[in-house]
Amino acid sequence: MRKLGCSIIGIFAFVVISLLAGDYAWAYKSAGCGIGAEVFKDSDDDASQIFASSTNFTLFNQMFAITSGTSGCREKKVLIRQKEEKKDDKKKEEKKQSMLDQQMFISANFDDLSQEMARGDGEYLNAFSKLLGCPAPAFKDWAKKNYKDIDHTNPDKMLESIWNKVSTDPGMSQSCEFVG
Amino acid sequence: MVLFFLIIAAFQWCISAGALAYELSPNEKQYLDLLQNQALKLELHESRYWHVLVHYKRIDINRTFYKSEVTQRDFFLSQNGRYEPKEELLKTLESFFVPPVIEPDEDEDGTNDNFPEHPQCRFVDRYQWLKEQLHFDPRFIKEQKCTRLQKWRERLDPSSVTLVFASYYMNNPSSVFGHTLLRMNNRKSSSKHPLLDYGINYGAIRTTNNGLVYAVLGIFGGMPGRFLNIPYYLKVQEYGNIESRDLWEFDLNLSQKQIDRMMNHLWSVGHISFPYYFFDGNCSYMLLALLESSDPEFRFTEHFKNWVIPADTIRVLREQPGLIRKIGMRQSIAAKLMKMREMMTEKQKGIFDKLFGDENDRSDSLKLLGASNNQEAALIIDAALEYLKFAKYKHIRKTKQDELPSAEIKLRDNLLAARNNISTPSNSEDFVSSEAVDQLKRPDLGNKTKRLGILTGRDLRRTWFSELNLRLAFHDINADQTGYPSGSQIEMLTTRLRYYYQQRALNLDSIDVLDVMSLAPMNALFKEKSWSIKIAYDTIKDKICDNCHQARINFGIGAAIGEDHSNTKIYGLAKLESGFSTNFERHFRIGPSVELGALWRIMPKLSFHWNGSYFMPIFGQTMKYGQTGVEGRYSTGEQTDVRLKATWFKATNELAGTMNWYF
Repeated sequence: MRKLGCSIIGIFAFVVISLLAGDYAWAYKSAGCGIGAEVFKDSDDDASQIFASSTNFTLFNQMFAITSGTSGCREKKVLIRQKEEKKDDKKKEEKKQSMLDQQMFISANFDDLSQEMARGDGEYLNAFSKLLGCPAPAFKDWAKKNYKDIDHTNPDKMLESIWNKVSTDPGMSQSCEFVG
Repeated sequence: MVLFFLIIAAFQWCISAGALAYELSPNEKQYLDLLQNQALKLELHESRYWHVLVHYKRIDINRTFYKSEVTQRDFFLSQNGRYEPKEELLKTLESFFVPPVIEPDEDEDGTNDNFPEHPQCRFVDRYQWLKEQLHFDPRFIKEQKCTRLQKWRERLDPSSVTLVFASYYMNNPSSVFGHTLLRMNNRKSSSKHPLLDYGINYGAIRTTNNGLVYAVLGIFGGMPGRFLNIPYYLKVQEYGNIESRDLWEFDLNLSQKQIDRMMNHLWSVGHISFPYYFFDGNCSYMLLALLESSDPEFRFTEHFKNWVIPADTIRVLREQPGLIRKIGMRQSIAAKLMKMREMMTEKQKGIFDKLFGDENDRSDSLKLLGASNNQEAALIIDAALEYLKFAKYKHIRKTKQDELPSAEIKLRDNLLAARNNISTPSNSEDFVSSEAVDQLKRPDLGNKTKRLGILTGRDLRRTWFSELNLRLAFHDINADQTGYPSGSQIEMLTTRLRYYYQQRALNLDSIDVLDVMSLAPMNALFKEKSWSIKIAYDTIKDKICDNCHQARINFGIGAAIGEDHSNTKIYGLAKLESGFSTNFERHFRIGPSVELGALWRIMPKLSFHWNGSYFMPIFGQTMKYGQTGVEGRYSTGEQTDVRLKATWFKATNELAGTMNWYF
C-alpha cells in the first residue's frame, strides 16, 4: 500500500518536474559496455578508412547508444581489421587497441582537447599523449606549435591529421608508439 | 553451424537447469561428496558472505526464508537456487568439476559471444571463496584457465578504487538525489591520467523514451539494471560538462585482495541484470553491495531498509574506519566558469561580455585579444571558450541538436587561434585537491535526511499547542546548507500532528507529500529558471473553520538572484495553485498565485527565511487571500537545530518554537 502510494507520488512528481525543468541530457547519457565487453568498431578492408562517420557526436552516440542499452559493444577485444585474416602479434594488437581508444577519446572530448592543444597544456592533452604513446612534454609542445596546421573540422579528421603530421615529423615519429 | 549452436544452447540450458552435461567419475563423485559434507558441516550456506555473493535477502520475520535479488535464471546453478542457498551451494561445488574448456579468442564470425564460460570463470567469486574455505585438491578439481576474465582484469588492472558522487541535478527527477559510480584506478596510469581509468556504473537500461512510462517502470522494477564499464572521461563529460554537476571523488583504502574479490564479484554479476528499482535497488545501493563483496567483514547494505539515498551510502562508508582515504572534487563547468569570472577585473569582464554581444563588439574584443600575449588575455579567452562549451551543452540539453549555431562556431575558432598565439599556458585547474575543497558542499557532511521535530506554539485564539512532526526525506531551504545544494529544497512525506491544550484536541495539522523548490540564481553568466512543486493535505487557515482540511497541488516557475557567497537570496515565483475540500464553495478553488521570498544566511549556523504569497483563485471558491511567514534557524549541533517561526494566515496567526533532530 505504501509502495503504491509512494509510486503514485513519485510518478506525478516525476512528470511535473520533467515538464517544469526537464531537459534532454538523458539522451546523451553514455551507457557503457557490459562487463568484459569492449567497444566494437565495424571492420573495414582499407586500414586507413577506419571511421564510420565524420560528425562530432554521431560516433559518440553510436558507440554508447542508450535506447538499446549496449549497442556498439562486443564481448571481446576490439579489432580494426586488416585485409589479412591471420593473427597479429601482441604489439600490433596493442597499437590497434590504442588507435581505437584514441578515436573514442578524441570524439568524446573534442572541445576540451582542442582548447588544450591551442593552449599547449592540460589534463586531456596529457591523457591523449599517453594514448598516442608519445612523451607528454614533447607532444604538448608539438601540438601547440602545429595547431594551426591540424585539421579541426571534426574529431575523425583531426585524428587523421595528427597521425599524418606526426608520422612525417622526424622527431615525433620516432618517439611516438601508437601513431597510425 | 546449426548443430554447433544447438550444442552450445544445450550446454547453456543444462548449466542453468542444474543438470550438468558432465558425468563425474567415481573418484570425483567421492571427492565431491567429501566437499559437500564439509561445506554443510561448516554451514557455509548460512554464511553471510555466501549471501552477499548470491544476493540472498531474508524475506520473512523469522528469518528462515530467502530470496535472491537476482531474477535472471542463469545466475543460479540449481533448480530452485533463487530461494535455496544450500541447494545452490551444493550445485555450485558440483559445477566446478566440469572438465576444462578452451576459450577461443574468436569464433568464425570474429566474436566469442556465444561461447559459454566454465562455471569456475563465470562464478569466479564463488569459486575463489569456496576454494579458500574448503581447500580444493587440484588433483580432482582441475583449475580452469579463464582467458576472457583475465583479459578484462588486465585491461582494468586496478590498484585502487574511487567512489565518485555526481552531485544533485534538479533538471532530471531521477538525478535529484545525486548519483554514485566507481572508478577503477589503473595501476600504471591512474595517478597521472585518471581520465583514462574505467568507471563502473550501475543503471537502468532505458527501454522507453516516454517520461511517464520510464517513471512507472523505474519505480516498479520494470527495467533491467546492469553494471557497465565505461571510460571515466565519458562520465566526466556527461556529468561535469553536459549536466554541469560537481564530481566528488572518494579514494577508498582497499587492499589488493579486497579489490580482487570485488573484481571477481563484478565479473559474476556483470553478466546479468537485476530489476532496477528507483527507490531501493538503485545505483548507490548496488554499488554499496559491490563494495560489500570485497570483504566478508563489510556490512554496508544492512543499514538500508526501505529506500537508499546516495549521500547516505557515502555516510555508511565513512563509518568504516579508515576506508575513505582522500577526498577530492572535480568542479562542474558552471563552477569553473564562475571561478574564472571572479578572477577577472572589471576591464576583463567588459572584454569578455563584448565577445558575446553584437558583431562589432565581438570583433573589437577579438582584435584586442589577438594582439595580446599575456595571462590576462589568456584568462578571458579560456573563460570564453568554457562559456561556449557550456552554451553548447545547454543547447544540446534543450534542443537535442549537436552543435552551436555557425556564428558561435566561428567565434570559437577565432578564440582558439588567438589562444594559440599566447605563449603562456593558463593555470586553470578543474581538479581541486582536498585541502582546497569546499567542505560546505561535501555531500556526506551536514544534516542527515530524516527529521523529527517537536514544536510548541500559540495561535491567534491564544491557544497553546504542541506538535510532533516527522519528515522522511530530504532537506529544506532554511536548514544548514552543508552538504546540500544551496537554493534547493526537497521534502517528502512530512507529517504534522498537533495537540491543542485548551480544546484537548489532537489534530492532523498536515501531511506534505512533496514540497520541492529549486532556486537557480541569475547572474551575468547564467539565467536558469527557478521552479517549485507542492502536494499536500493540510488545514485550511485562511477562513474560520475548525480543523478543516484541504488537498492542495501547486506548481510555480520563477527567478531568483543571489549567489552562495553573498549570503542573501531573493526569489519570486508565479504559481498555479489548486485546493480541494468540501469546505469550499463548489468544493475546489484554482487560480494563479504569486510568491516572494528571501533567504538571509548570516553564517552557516544561523539563517532567516521570509516568504509571502497571494492567491487569487479564479474557479471555484474565488475568495482571495494572502499569507506570510518568517522563520529563524540556529543549528545547535551537526544533527540538531532550533527554529522560531511566525506565520500570518488570513484567519489566524501562529508563533512556534521547534527543536529538530536529523537522523
